[in-house]
Amino acid sequence: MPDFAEPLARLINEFKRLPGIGQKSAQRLAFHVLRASREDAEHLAQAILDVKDKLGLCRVCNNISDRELCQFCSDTNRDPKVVCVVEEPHGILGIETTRQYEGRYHVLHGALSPLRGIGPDSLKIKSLVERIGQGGIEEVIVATNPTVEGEATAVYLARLLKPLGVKVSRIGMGVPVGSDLEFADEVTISKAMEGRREM
Amino acid sequence: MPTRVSEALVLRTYPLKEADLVVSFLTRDQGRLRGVAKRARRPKSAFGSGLERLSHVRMAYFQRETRELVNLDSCELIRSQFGLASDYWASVALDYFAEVAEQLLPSAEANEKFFRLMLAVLDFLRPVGGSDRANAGRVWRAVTYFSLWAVRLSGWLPELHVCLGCGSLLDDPGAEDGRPERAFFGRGRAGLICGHCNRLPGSGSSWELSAASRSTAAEMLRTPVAQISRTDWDQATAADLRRFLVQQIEAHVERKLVTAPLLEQRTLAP
Repeated sequence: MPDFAEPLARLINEFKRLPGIGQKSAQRLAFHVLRASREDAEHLAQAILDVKDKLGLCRVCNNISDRELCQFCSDTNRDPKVVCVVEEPHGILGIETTRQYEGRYHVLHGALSPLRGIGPDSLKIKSLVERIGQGGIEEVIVATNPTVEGEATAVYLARLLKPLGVKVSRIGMGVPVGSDLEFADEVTISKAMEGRREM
Repeated sequence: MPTRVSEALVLRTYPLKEADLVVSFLTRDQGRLRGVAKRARRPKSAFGSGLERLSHVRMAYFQRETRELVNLDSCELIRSQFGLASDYWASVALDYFAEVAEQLLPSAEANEKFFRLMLAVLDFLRPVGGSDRANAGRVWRAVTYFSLWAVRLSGWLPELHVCLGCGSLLDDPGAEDGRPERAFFGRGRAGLICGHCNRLPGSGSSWELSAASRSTAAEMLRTPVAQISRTDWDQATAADLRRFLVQQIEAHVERKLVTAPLLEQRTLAP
């Protein structure tokens, strides 16, 4: 690495620690910050600090929030009887783009993955069970990713929650809209067939 | 045209950039390789479900001598393990197989016997719709068999009937009382020791490997996993043998396996 001035080298090293950022990208970002106005640099620095200082987890659903209750848990127009379980907070964004779901959420902050050392105790499962135990929830929609880890998490949750007397459903899996059946593999097609519906 | 097409088992994937994956996979003919699968996380990816853990695939990839990572072109699914995800403990076992394979096998060294071992245990674990108890038994049998053969194929399996300390036979048929000698193992020790050597000062903490587990190991070394005579397996069956084998693996890879303790925590979850 060429000898940059110490503050610039430090900034490059910090950017390199971000996911997906290598040496060249880090240099590009660092030089962008260097050329930017002081005001822009301060906005960036303040935004990073705010994320650390002002954000926490919603007391009820574990979504990221700047208040005790997130916007979904505090919205009285949402149906409290239906809870959609997602792996990560950004999973909520995907569901919200449909504008069709009006229930509430629960964020697990991961999926069961023994290979990554993530077992049931590492996820926000206990708070989900407690939430259901308080009553008022009739259906839990498990919207974990359609991966082996997501599926294992869904099955685990179903076995845990069904005895509590709630309906547990799984989001549909199968062929993406706009794709071609010819190129779908056997697992995708079989999941699509399993989840077929009457018309 | 891709340079090479290999039959492979996907061991593990790591996210890269926005939608790419780094894939660790075990090929039948080239050993363990790593490659980049571009756009693999997008819904309309050419890889489909082929990059899920332990998917059995035909992987097409470009390989350059100067680069460690190959470029994955596509994969054709031969057999998916997605159905096993409905059994959480089978799923943990699959992660265990993948972790052990990734830790034990050196990069780019063909090891067809290990590849066949993995196919054999995956075949054995295929869901057959039995009871929870029967399915659990299959998981323990497969995990024990895999661990034993993984250590054996890596060349680290010690003699299970000889004391490492004094060289005496642990299963001496001519023993006075006709009973096999007790055998013990410990962390950092490459084999078993007899009761006498275990009592010597400085032998450290140890666990007993029962004669029944030694007998099970001997049978596993000469019999396919599906034909092991004992069928009523549970978590306690050959637990000491699994502990011994996991210790052997951890000693040689010089790190703890993350999946092994999760597997043995089975009783704590539904």
